[in-house]
Amino acid sequence: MLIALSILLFVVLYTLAAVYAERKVSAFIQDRLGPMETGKFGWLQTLADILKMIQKENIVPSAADRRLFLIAPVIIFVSVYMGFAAIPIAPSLIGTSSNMGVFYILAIISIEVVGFLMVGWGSNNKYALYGATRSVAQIVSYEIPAGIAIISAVMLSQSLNMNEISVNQGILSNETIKFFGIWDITHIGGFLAWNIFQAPHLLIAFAVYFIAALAESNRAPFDVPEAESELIAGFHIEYTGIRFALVFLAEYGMMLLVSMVAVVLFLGGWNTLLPNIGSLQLAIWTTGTFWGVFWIISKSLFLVLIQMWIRWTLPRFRVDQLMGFCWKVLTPLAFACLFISGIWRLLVM
Amino acid sequence: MLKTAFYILAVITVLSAMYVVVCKNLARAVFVFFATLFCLAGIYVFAFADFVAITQIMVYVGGIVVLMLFGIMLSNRQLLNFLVDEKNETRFFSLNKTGAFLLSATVFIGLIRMITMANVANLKWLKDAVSSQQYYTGFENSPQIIGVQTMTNYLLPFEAASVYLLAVLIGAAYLARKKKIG
Repeated sequence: MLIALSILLFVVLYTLAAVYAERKVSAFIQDRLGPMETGKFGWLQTLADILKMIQKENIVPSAADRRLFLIAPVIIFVSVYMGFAAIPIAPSLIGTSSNMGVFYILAIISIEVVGFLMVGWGSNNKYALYGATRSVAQIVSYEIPAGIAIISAVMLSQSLNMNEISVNQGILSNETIKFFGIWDITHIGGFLAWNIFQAPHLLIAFAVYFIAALAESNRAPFDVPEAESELIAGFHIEYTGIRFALVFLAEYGMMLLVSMVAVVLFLGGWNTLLPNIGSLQLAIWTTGTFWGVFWIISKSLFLVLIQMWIRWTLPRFRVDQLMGFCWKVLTPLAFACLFISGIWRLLVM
Repeated sequence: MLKTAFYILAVITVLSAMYVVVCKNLARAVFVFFATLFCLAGIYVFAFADFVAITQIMVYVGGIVVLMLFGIMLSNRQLLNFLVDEKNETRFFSLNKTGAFLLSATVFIGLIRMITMANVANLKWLKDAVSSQQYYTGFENSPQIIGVQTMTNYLLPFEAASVYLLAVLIGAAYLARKKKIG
């Protein structure tokens, strides 16, 4: 219960910070200043935005399906929030340590799709319906490379339990860990023990997962569902006030969730970045509950920052390019990783 | 606490399933069907079938419901309006529905009779399992057990299912192909 509440609080605060960061990052990338007026460096801007959203009138279009329209943003946000339950935050800190954590997260993310369709249908608006349809087509297609990339990491850990996967990537592991399958580093740990360095082909799997995750959270360059130039704002066009804030919260929550999943599966989860070097026991000093929280959050926030960087650097894909990229590039790559994982597990580990 | 959760899930499942049958707005019915399937997944968890529960969410919620919604969205709205427009002379019961009414009543009574006859609390195999301590506690690594079982004892049905699915896939691709004009 305490973990659930603190995650909720964290997601809300993180979103406030992330929206501000997004504006500043975009401004720096495009050589602008970004928000400057509200507070020093505009750091009160998102707070002002939230105040505005809370007091805004809650408009339901008269042609909309009232109940679906009102409940849809809640479903979108709750489905994202439920995903955090299976994320291990520190060696002994996890919402529910289930034996099917990875599978659970994959399933829960797919509920979001129903929320999008509900928004699109409930709004009874051409643009919203197009946005929702595009978003669903995109998420459903990109679930395949994402899922297969995840499986190729899971095959090496031999567990669907997120906490066990994390344990197997650091000095707390009970198994022998080898850097690139050659060098025994069970007692050295650090970044050398992360999954992507245990088996080099997981670097490709990580890249596939990260790209697919961008598409699953509807972020540029995969933001055709909310393409401003053609669909105005996409599926959430009819929403105002607090419900719009919920959709926004879900988008940023999704960014954090997919980053956290990537961190747990490929980048060592709550394990430390620093290896033991001789008598300098950096890995042992920086492993623990507090450090675990610090590492997983800083790693995932770094990935979120990369997502923002990509958004403001790359132009938007066309719909057919998007699907072609998914089916012709990412899916075969993910299958190749899966194949190598099987051989790696049998021959190297 | 657990019992309350179970009853809440059960009541939502039954009520939403009824709403799906009665509701004349097709899109809304599918969204309520989503609630039915989701609560059903919750009930699976109570039966220690957590793997089935998550598969239920993955396949039915993420797949079937979305497919149904796409079907509705891609079809013409006017085509579905006859459901809403159709007015019954009597709201509750009309004579030409007697057959349907009798059939459903028979099935309902049959099911109730089956539950009462089964005498679930005194089943022999249940008692044997409890006395020999061979029961599921919920802490087993069920994906691993399922994986080992599918690859050993149930390999033939598993392979048969995969061949069947491949055939379905090829059939679907064949149906959806570009047709030659002329």
